[in-house]
Amino acid sequence: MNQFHPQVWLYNLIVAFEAVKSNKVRSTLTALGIIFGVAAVISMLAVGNGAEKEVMDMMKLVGSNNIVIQPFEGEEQEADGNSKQKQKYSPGLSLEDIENIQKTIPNIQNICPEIKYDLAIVANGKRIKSSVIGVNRAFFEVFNLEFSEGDVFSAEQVHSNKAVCVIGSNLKQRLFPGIDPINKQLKCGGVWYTIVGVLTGKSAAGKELEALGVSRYGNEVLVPIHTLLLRYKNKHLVTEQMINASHNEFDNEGNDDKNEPQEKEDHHQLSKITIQVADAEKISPTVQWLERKLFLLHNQRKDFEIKVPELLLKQQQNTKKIFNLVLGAIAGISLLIGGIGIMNIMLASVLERIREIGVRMAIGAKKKDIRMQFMFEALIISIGGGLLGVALGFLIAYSIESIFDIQTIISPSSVFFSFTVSALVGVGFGYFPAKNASDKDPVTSLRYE
Amino acid sequence: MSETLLALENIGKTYNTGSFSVEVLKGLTFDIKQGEFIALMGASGSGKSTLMNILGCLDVPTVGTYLLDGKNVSHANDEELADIRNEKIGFIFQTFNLLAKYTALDNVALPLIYAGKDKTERIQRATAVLEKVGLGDRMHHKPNELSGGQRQRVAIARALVNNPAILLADEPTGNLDSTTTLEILDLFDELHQAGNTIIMVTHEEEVGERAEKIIRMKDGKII
Repeated sequence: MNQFHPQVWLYNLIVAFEAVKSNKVRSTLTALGIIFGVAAVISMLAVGNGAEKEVMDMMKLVGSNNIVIQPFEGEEQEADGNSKQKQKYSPGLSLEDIENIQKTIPNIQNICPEIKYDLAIVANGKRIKSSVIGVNRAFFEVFNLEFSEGDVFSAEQVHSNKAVCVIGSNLKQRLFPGIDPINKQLKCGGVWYTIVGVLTGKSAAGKELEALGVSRYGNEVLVPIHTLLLRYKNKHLVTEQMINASHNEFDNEGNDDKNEPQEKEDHHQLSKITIQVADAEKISPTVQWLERKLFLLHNQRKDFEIKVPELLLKQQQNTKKIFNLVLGAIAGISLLIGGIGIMNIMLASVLERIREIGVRMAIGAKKKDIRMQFMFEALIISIGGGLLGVALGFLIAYSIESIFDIQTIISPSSVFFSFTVSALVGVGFGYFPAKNASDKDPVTSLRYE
Repeated sequence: MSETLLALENIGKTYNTGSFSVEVLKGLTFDIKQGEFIALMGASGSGKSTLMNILGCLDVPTVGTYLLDGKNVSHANDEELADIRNEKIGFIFQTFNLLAKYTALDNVALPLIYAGKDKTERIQRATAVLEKVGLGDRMHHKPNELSGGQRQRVAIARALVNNPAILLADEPTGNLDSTTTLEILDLFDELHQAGNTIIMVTHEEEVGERAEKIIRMKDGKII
């Protein structure tokens, strides 16, 4: 008689199903805790995964082992505290700095200066406010930029200061919708360029990237840096008025170009320097060297700031991880409360059916049969709740994605995890009431009123 | 007919309720033979219900030996007791104790489930035994759609379905009117004639007199 009886299992399962079915409202209310718990876990993890993916994408975009040097825009502070009084002359970030850095600092793989001009761009009968950035060839390698059409300007083109350019995918769409832009002409600030390449589109949050010192290169015109220097006035000599004048040159309707914020006085020649070091371990010593070197070159003025986007991103990633963990814990607590709800209802269910338990025992049900019956009941509620919770989780994740425009990724493991947890909650919190039921004395149960 | 089915020797049961203990059964010794129809009688508090529980393997004696069908069950554990109840004993209660949600057929088939029988066999045997107690046309009715007498017949069918060695009826007519009482007692007679061993607890003389033999109890002893 001690062998396994599938009939008994099946029967107990059916009995449990009927018990759940005959108390529909109560069962549903009990399952709600589990439903919301599972849905919370799934949607939270989906948001977390999405955020992580975004950071990873950004990681790719900022390139690996990069150090970014930018002009410092805030108030400069000096060691002795008298900041304003003795503003020494600083040449600002310049191509000379680049040469100096290349000569004196080791472990540098690539160094990419950038000069950025905000200008109006005219092509194909359209006019767009954007920027022209002077770069070198290494720039495309450092930022993993890929081409949808054409290619990077050639070494000869760079050497002979040809007026060629590479444009971003957005710009292509706005200026040349449905047209092959290669070898077409484009005019920026009075200079005509021939388009040799179009970059592929990248989708990453623009503002976050800017904070890290990385641009999106979707709307920009990229030209060889020396071509730029040759064709325009040196940046620190360009005044606001001149920029406005260059805008107005094409601006017959009197657009809002004048409102464009421009720095009053910019003593920096370069807008940005990106330095790629040979390997990750060399990043922090290189940053220290750069800091000291530039400080000296700039007459002991700290008019620049050095960022390591990768490290900033990693910090961000860590913060996000902690955030996810907290969210997960909250979702976990709601699962726990759901479990307690199940236990509560199961205890009530046992109390209601003491007489039934007595009868079943009298005609031969073993303790384990009674236990199984009530365990199944708890499991049906928790697993059913788990399934509905998974569905709700998908719905919530989808809603978050479409309403808040946040990327969400539901991983199979999060579905598996939350589903398993809900089943475990059923087992865990169903066991005590089931044990309670099976430990009833048949004699007293039969007489229970 | 003369084979000994139940043998009790010096059975005692003591309940401990905190500080004091109550001796409910005091050294009972008697045999019940195969095919006997016995009425167990006594006033309330005489210990007949406790004896019934021990005979039905719902409880174990504190002292003494209880041989059921040649097997000593005095020290069986819960699991063994459950199996014995399932295989050897058919209970009939005063309050019928049918499961309200199930039809007559499902109620009768219940013991077969815990015996691990498959569905076909369960339905076959439950149908047969329901027809035997005269409820062939009421099989798919639920207890609340049946009269008191019909309910007790369902309970008797449930007790019989696994061919038990012994039928234990605890005040089977206590909740029935006089006409139905007679019908049920007639059914007991039929079952007795067919060779079933029946032990019936009752406090009504006229019911007890229908049995072959009466065991009277008082203060935990047989008199």
